[in-house]
Amino acid sequence: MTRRALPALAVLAATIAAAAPVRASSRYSLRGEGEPVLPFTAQVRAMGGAEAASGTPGIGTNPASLALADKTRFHGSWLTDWVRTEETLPAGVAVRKEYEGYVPNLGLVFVAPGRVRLGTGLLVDRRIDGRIVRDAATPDGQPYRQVFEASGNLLRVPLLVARDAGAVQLGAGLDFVLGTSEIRWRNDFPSGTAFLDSDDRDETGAWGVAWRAGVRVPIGGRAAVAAWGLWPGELSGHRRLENEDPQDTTSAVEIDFETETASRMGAGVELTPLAGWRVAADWTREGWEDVAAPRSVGTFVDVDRVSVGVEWTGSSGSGLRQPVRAGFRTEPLHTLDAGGREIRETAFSAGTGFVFADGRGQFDWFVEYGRRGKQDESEYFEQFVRLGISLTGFEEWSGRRPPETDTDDW
Amino acid sequence: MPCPPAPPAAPARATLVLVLCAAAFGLPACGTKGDDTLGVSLIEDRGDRKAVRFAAMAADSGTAFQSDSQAGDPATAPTLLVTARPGYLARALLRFPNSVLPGGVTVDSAMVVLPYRDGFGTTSFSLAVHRVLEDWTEASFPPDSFPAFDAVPAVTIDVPFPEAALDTFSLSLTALAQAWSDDTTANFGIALLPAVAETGELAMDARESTTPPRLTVHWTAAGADSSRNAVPSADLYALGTTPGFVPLSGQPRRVTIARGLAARSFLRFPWADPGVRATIHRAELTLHGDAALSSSNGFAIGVRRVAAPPWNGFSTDVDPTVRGIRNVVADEDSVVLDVTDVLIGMLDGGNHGLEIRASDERPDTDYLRFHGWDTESPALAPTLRVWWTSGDLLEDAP
Repeated sequence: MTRRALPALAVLAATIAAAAPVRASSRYSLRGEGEPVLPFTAQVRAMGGAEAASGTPGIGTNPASLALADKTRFHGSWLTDWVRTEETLPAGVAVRKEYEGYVPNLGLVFVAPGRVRLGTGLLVDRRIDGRIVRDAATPDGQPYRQVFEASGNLLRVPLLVARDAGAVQLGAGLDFVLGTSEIRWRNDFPSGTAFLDSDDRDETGAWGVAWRAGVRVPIGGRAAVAAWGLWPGELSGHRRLENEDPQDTTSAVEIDFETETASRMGAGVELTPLAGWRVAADWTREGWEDVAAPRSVGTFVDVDRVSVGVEWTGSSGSGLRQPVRAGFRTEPLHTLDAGGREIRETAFSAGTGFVFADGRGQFDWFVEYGRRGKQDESEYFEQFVRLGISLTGFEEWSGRRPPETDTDDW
Repeated sequence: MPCPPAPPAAPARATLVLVLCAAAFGLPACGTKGDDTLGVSLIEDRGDRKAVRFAAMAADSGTAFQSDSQAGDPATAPTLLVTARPGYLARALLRFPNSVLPGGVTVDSAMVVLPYRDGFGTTSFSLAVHRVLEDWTEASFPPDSFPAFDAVPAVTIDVPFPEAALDTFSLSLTALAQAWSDDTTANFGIALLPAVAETGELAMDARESTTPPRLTVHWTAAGADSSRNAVPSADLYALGTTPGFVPLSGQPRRVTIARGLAARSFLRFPWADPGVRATIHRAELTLHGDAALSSSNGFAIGVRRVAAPPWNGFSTDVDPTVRGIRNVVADEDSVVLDVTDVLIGMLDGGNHGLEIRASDERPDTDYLRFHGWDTESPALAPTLRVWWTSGDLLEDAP
């Protein structure tokens, strides 16, 4: 039944994704380099995103974890965001609610000969998205509407290799980093007023390479520690400023530029203290203070993300065969709010999953509730609920015996 | 062999998957419930630079100038002008093709219908029609070299303007047509002149217009009646000045715009460069009329951008297209011209001033005056009002 339903679900997902609104990003994503999108599977997200020392192979953080893959696997995730944003204004509290659905990651881990593991995929790393509309009037009283729109994302395409070295897992590789953004400002006058509208666009695209390396060290049979880092080089970018005035075709300017994004390093631990229990914790630092911030932002702040998760899998006699996962995550945003205050994001998560098709597939899901900012104090107070699913397929690649030669005589 | 019973967890698991997937995929399709006004601080930060700006300014310099020769090419003008306004003299010529009338016939009637375009004066216009005595070509020539014509008018009529309903008026030229038939080599057409003591002006549609003059001839040949009609094979007018001419541009403190002998004015406003990629939402030039110093039934005026300094009368480098064209009547207190396109041109080409002129300088000798940049009534000085948005700058990196 599940096997028959999956293609239909995939078609349903693609159809809805094409029609879905894409406006549920954090309002804070409009400041700085956007909102982080944690590129983990639902299994990891359910445990707060603690992955570095995990026994589950993944391509999001520590490449050393790939060495634990015993089968070639591919995975894809779907994430639905619901966000409720409050902005406290002199006239009262304005509230905004939005849904959004998207694919945050796709991954492929390939088991190569010689205990080598290869990993690649597509990771949505950050995203910018939002639209602000405000009614305004010119100094002499002509009414018009200001429309600010921003969109963009930062994608990573990793090419990773990992291998066991004794009991230790080692991994390294590189991420192709691709960032795009478009910031648009329009001043729209009511039709019939003989005023022309303005439409200014600031488009950027940049790409570069980030180097990644990691190690995972099992300690005894019940613990493992890990560390990893990601060091991006300079991103080569192209920027285009354009005034969309159809009567003015000479003012667009295009320049090449160099930019940078934050380096990352992380450490993690995984414990299996009791049978059926697994505990993981991660600390990740994103070095944003070394990145030059645009004038409109002023300064970036380093991000220290702490993730903790626990998983319990009942014994065969417990009646509950699916693992139960729960997690917690907290981190500051890399930009300050309009008042120069730190904005902290805190989230609680839970989830579970199961295998199907005789172990050739795995379905995981998680739900997460979180908050950004402080009510009545921060620029925005946001609450979000995320529902995510991941589908993982396993394939044991082995040499197939050639068909036997038919030797029967006629 | 009976099928083994299905594991009891399988239906529940499939249902769970479907519910989760439906929720995950379905929620985004619930549609937006967004209030896009959230983000006051952010849009205010950027709005300091990206809000629409407005400036109203008075001109800081200006000048007027007038041509001493006829505006445009009268051979291709869509009008024929006859005038005796003080200081001016305009006379028109028309010639119909010989083919319209065979030689040696008896002309029963010949009627020229002239489409009325405009007139200026306090009474009807007295028009004298003379037979032209020498050949001429449809090309511009000095007013004092007008072709010789019969000193005695063939016809003199009063054109009863101003009458809104007047579309055409007619000239009976039977005797003249008979003379052309008698000697087909002597058809040099007719000259239209202001009659003696006339001080007004009459404008008619020329053959280049959509309603050209028309000659209709009826004649008798070999006992049979025939008729033909034709439009002129050539027509033009020559405009010059008389000894009483006073250049219009000599009026101080005024913007002067004239047709016929074209007068134009330059104005410059101290508008600062709004920077690259700025958008001009709207620009308006307001002129305040001086009816006492104007002489016009009204005409359309417009603006061109001065492309490069210096101002040098008709030799000044200006954009080819007249923009912001608007019809102006003589007693209009103020006129607002839409000069948005002109200001857009200034974004790339610089602010070297505006040329204010008639959009068509050929039809008549009307002129308009507006208070100038240095008028004795500062409240009536020309005003430029501009609404714009600054462009994005490279240093404002995203």
